[in-house]
Amino acid sequence: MAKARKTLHITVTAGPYGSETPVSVFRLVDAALDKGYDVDVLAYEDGVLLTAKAQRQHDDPIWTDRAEHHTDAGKAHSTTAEFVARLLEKGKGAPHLNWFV
Amino acid sequence: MSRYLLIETKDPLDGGDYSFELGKQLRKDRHEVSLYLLQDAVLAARRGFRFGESLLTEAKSSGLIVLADEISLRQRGVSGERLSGEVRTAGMTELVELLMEGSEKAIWH
Repeated sequence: MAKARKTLHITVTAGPYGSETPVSVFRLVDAALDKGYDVDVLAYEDGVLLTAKAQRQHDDPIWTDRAEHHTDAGKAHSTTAEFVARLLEKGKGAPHLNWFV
Repeated sequence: MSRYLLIETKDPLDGGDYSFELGKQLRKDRHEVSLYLLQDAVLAARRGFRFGESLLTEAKSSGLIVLADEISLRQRGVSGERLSGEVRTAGMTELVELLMEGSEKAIWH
């Protein structure tokens, strides 16, 4: 009989760009999926804004025109919504990621 | 006896000594305790930072296992000779293992 997959449950209240916590959560989710665990994230309070699609990259020209400042995603930075989208893509099968708001 | 995982994120001068204190109390009650320093909490691992060194010395004598997040250290320039010998560096994979297999109770501060 196959061993049941364990699930890591995370609750997050931190919103985007106000602290380092969202990035730590993204790293934790990414590592847990790599290790083969299912992950459930419950985002509440300011955490619901992590997946807000209204976020835009900073429009300062130094970030848009200077390729040497760009990340491997081809731009200066990703929004938190884009980070979550990539994690959801990674976790759409098994192991699986659910992101609740 | 339980196995606790304490994840500390705050600068030791800004409330980040909380998990060290809690860890010591849990050790007195004979629980196993791992303390993972993340974000600004890794500043406790700077060599020559007197308050951080006293926290790490007391943690060691209490039997706390102290780990410091590799990326958080690198982001703050705490590496090589700047890093205290009283901590072991670790990554998110090890934190996941501690959360999922190495502890029954986890506290994020």
